[in-house]
Amino acid sequence: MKSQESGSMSTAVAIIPAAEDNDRLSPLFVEHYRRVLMSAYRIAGNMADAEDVAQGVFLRLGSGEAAAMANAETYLYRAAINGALDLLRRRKAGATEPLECAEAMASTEPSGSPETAISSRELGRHLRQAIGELAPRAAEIFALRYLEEMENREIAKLMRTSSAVVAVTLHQAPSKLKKRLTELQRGKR
Amino acid sequence: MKREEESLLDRATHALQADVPDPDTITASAAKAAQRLGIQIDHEVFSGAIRNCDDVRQLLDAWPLLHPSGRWIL
Repeated sequence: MKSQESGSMSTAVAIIPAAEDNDRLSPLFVEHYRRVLMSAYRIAGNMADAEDVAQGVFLRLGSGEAAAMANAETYLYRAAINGALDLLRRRKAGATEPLECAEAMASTEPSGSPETAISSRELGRHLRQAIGELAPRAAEIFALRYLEEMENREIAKLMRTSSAVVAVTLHQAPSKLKKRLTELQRGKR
Repeated sequence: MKREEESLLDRATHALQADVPDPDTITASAAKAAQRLGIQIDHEVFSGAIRNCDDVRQLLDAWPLLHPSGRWIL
């Protein structure tokens, strides 16, 4: 592997995989970048973090770190979700989101009332925080089921566990999220 | 109370599902990432064209927030 990485993902200027890696990476990038970015964005809640996550995912794939994995697609989406979940966990509770979130709100909800838009954005922010407080595996399963809308059996296969474990997790995680969301809506941090 | 919590989670989940960047932002992001990774791409691919079922699903998810009245044109 001849890739070079300088500094953190957000400060790196050029990360160029070797030519042979590029040939393999290009079709995967074209096919999956959009969805990988979306998956990361839904959880991270802002484009800068989502881009860092998405680029890191493709970089690792191109570097051969995940080359042994039989299914690159599977790797990409799980890695995007887990990368974004890691960011959520690192984010300090109560920290504000970047200004771009407000711009995104304005651009995605042009015909809604300001109250509706703020309420929706606020709810999303609270859910992100609550997901970040779940156990890592539960957070991943919840995201795969309810944000990526995968079936339980697909999730079980992806995570190499049983459908029963997925079902139990999907029973427990929403209960915790509901309670936490209610608290957050009432102003508890 | 329980129903209220249920509804809150449903609305919050839907808000995240519908929270998608606009096509221009995605195109710009793809171009930037491709450059950093040293990949040549056709920018048209990322221009927001509907290419598969996931793209359609994302548009459907975004519809209620874009049009809060809930009325469908079709």
